[in-house]
Amino acid sequence: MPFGYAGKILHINLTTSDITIEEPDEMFYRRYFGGRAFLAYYLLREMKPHEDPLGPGNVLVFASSAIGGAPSHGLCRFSVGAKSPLTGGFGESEAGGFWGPELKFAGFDAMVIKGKSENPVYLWIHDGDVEIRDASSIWGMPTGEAQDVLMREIGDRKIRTVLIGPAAENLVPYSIIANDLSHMSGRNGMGTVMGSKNLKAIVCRGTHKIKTKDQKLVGSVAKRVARDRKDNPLSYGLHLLGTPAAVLHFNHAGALPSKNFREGTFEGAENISGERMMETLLERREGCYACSIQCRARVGVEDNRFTVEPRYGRPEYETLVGLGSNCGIDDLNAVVKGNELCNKLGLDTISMGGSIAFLMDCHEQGLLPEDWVNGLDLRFGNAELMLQLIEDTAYGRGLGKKLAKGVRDMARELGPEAEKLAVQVKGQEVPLHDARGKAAVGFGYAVVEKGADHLVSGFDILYEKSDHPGFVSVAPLGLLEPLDVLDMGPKKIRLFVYMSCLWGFYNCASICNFAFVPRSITTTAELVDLVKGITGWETSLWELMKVGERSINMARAFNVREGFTRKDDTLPDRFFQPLEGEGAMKGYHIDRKTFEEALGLYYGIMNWDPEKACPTYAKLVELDIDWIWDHIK
Amino acid sequence: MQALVGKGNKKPPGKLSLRLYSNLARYAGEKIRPFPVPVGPSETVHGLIQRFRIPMSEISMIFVNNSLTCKLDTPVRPGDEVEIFGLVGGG
Repeated sequence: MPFGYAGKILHINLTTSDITIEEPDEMFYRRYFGGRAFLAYYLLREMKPHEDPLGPGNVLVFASSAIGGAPSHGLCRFSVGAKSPLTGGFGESEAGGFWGPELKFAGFDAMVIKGKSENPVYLWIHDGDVEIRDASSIWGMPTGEAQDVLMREIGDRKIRTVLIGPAAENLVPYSIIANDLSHMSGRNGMGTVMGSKNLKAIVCRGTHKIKTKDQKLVGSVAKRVARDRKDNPLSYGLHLLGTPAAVLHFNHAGALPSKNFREGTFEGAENISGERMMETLLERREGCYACSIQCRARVGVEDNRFTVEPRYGRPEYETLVGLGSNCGIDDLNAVVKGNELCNKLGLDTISMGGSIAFLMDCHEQGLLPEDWVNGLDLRFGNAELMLQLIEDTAYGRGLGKKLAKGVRDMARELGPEAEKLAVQVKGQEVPLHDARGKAAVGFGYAVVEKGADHLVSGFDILYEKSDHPGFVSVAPLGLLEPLDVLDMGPKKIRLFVYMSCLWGFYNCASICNFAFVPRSITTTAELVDLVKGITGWETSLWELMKVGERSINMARAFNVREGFTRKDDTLPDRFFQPLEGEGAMKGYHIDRKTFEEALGLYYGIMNWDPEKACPTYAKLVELDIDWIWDHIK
Repeated sequence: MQALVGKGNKKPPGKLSLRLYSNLARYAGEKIRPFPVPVGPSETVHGLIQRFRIPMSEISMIFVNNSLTCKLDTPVRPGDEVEIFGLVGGG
């Protein structure tokens, strides 16, 4: 048995119920590693171009990696990929927790699912065995209830689940996959693809342990991090408040998305802050598989309007802002309830919040026809309505039918004035970071293959000061000059490329960016040690970054094959308009010319064709993936 | 008796309100809310930072009375609201 990986990829055809096991060679694992590169590999090879994302021809891939689930912190994540029903392009979503490691303990590094089952089914994967089981009794159930039934049916409370809720069954294009109820593969509508295949859940349980080549080396890194995690300001901050710490920070900096990204500060920010949530609602902190950082938590609410079940997890920063300030809402309990509803019914809080904020903005601008409004008070700040609209979206009722189209399609229906308010890229609603306040993050929104995504290159604030631990940590990449957060010039694009290659590796290797540099504590030298210690490969940071770069080019090739061009690499009009309100960044906007120059430079650095925004043959040869040329030439 | 009179004449130092955000909370016993800090007549932002032994590399923004300041020699007085932000990365 190899070190680090199981050496087996599961292939399941839900139309024919065929189950086969592929055993790729070591070269495959070392070249593609896992995660995003696995997704792109199978989507390019096993799916025909221009398939309907909701048809049986779409291919759904779940991938851990060559090192995922090894006994160290921050190696818990897995990726899900398919053609996205939200964007029509490369779909990708990652989540942490325990499911990814459990898939490996059950004997598989990844699984490729094709076809469509006639009736609702779930997959039961345990110690190398695979069963396709009837799921008609749990079809229609919210995620938590469905999980309860599965635990009873299988008779094991230690099972790990990924499952979908009613929203995905009803094919809302931004439906999530819930992983043990509180970790979400949230973006790109991967849950919707499960729903379209009549696949309710995948349950894993395994007892195989992952073999490592040099456990002493792996253990030394894990121990160092466990010892120093409270001394490192970044990992300590993650533990103390988690991502919600950013609410008040960004509000003071004038870049907290408020009212559909109209403004950069929010009067009620204190009410929806991480500090307030910790003081009033915290039940306990928790973490993911084998991780000492413990940056997650459970919260509970009991007020006279509703209760919130802690098992659905604490809202992260994205949700607090997406359902909170960006909808003009400062009612913390309602936002926490909204988080629970989205996780129960299976909706992405970023896209859901973005869709509601867009409608509220359109309403305040007088752009909504009466048959959309239908007597609803759609002004910013209506928390009760936000909760109602989440349920209506999941079940396709009333205005929920419109919301279930997502921002891009609603805007197209409403006309050009509404399209100016549509804060989306490639059809995906923008995460809760104002592109005007973070140049590299904003640039990433435009170019990333999956549509607007914030976890690409790290935030500009990590690289703005020479003594910032984030900046210091990336010196081994040759990033030696601190850069202003608002700078979108050539040096920032260089930084973006290097960092997206490192981050690209993270997304291929089950790595959590809350455990590794520049956002956290584990160094690049330790990263290389971990890969060496787990796999036994004599590797280097250079080789690992090339894996990341390879994965970006593969995802790009998929989009090119689907017809994406340079014009899809763009930003919403809103970010080219001045920030309104009274915050510190009032009046600031991105300059269109600067953005276009940055885009051209990016293609140049990537060695892509500048018109087609497509990898060149030479680049594919350099990355040892020239087989892809036949798919895109 | 003399000493007591002397003590009585001495005005107790006034207090400002200090708030340390995110990772900086550990420099004040993990307080995440504003707390009162006694200040003398010639106190500065820098003095406060030193008093709580906060490394400069862990500070990202400093506000005095809701106004962003980059100057470490900014004077602070009783009644002021001082807010010091640490490092966050969002997500």
